[in-house]
Amino acid sequence: MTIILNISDLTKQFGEVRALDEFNLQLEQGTVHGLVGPNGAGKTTLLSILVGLRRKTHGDIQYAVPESRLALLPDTPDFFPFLTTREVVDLARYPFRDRVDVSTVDKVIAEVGLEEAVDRRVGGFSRGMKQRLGLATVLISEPEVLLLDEPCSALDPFGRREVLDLISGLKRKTTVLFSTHILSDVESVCDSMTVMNEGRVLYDGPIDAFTNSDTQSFEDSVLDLLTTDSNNALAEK
Amino acid sequence: MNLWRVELLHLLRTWRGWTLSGVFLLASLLAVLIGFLIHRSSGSSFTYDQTLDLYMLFAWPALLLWTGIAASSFAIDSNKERSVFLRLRFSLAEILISKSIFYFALAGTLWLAGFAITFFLGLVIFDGSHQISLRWFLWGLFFFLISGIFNTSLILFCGALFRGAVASVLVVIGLSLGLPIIASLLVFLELLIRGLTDTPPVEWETVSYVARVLVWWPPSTYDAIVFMSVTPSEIAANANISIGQALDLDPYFRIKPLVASVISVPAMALFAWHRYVRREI
Repeated sequence: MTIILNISDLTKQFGEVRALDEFNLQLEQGTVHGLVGPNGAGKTTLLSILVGLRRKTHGDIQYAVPESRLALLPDTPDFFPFLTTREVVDLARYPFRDRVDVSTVDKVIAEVGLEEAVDRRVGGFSRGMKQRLGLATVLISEPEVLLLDEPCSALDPFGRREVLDLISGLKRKTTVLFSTHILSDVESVCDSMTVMNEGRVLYDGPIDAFTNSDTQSFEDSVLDLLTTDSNNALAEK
Repeated sequence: MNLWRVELLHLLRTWRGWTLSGVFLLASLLAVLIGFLIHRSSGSSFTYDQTLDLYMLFAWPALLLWTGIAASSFAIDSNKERSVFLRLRFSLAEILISKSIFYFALAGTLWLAGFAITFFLGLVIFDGSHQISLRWFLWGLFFFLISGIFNTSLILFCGALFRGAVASVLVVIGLSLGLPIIASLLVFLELLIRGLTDTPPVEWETVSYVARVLVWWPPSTYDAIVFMSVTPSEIAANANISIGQALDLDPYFRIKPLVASVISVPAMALFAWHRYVRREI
């Protein structure tokens, strides 16, 4: 298997706070990898550093793909309210116009379920619609590595199912790093996952290998791991 | 869809573009109207070049509005999510260069359109027997463009200083409007203290120490736009009369702020670039 992203000893310091602490991760090509952790675990910081929106304090990040084949969907995407859905997606296509044809715009809009709002201005969109539009703006660039920061957080159960199906459909074509709070989403979509807390990796490996016990659910196992780590950290202090 | 079209749609689909065009048009119509009233009340011959002088004065509020609109547009990081959308797809150079050229061209186009409207209406309504000197017009235009370049760089500079649009807009307007007002007040106080209050405003620059410093302030190049309405009779008298004030027809009239602009524009652009690049989102 080809390693498409290799992160080693990545650290990010905000004053006294260490948002990422010697963080290590390897992503295999074509897999969907979940990033799980409580608020403040460092998930968004990690994704921001990976696309260059923030600077690392130290550590190493190596991609096996060019920077232009990398895309990030932020947790609360927002767009110019005076543009229509089609114009926003076409603007997102512009840097990749040499390899992505204009006809792809409508196709991608239909893929995320916004075909009825194609000529509507995005100013009046709900958060869920903006999240779908955000997904369209990253899919239009045909990325090889897709970083998703809580892509289902504002979606209703139907929308969530659609997005998860979409992510499942990307398997083997695109490598997805998928940050979320919803543990059942990780269980149903991801091949592997990283559980993190306070910038540290608590678990990194396949989903199947995570729960050894037949009696404990996936969700309980993750919560157990996080609670034990928090208690240990508190005891150390 | 590209960044240029986004800027254009931003103006056309919001109040900004229409209000800005309206205020420039209003300046033009107001210049003609005031000219018409002066012409009727005084009974003297009112020439179309005097209407142009009035337009230059009335276009000030429109330029201030442009400053506010441009400054809020340059605050690209004031909305984190939109900033992420742009920065992940376009290089910072693409974003800043397209904005700089777009807003510089916008101010120039609207101002000159207002100038042209005033010119043609003035020619039709008032005495149009004098011809504007092309040579002096081009010299005035040159100073106008330099003033536009400086203002765009100042907006870029302030956009880099602050993330928020409001702070950026306030500082730019404060520098463009507040600084000359405060300086003029200081000049007046200085003349009052030195007992020189009878000095006509055109001579302040040679008499007042504060005014001598102020003349290096780059936006002063805008004063030289009065050259855009110089007529043969003014050339013969070697004086440009604008809104009752007579200025010597000296091409080096605003050479000091021109030098200051040439130095400060690249310095501000470099500083802005450094700040924008280092800013974390």
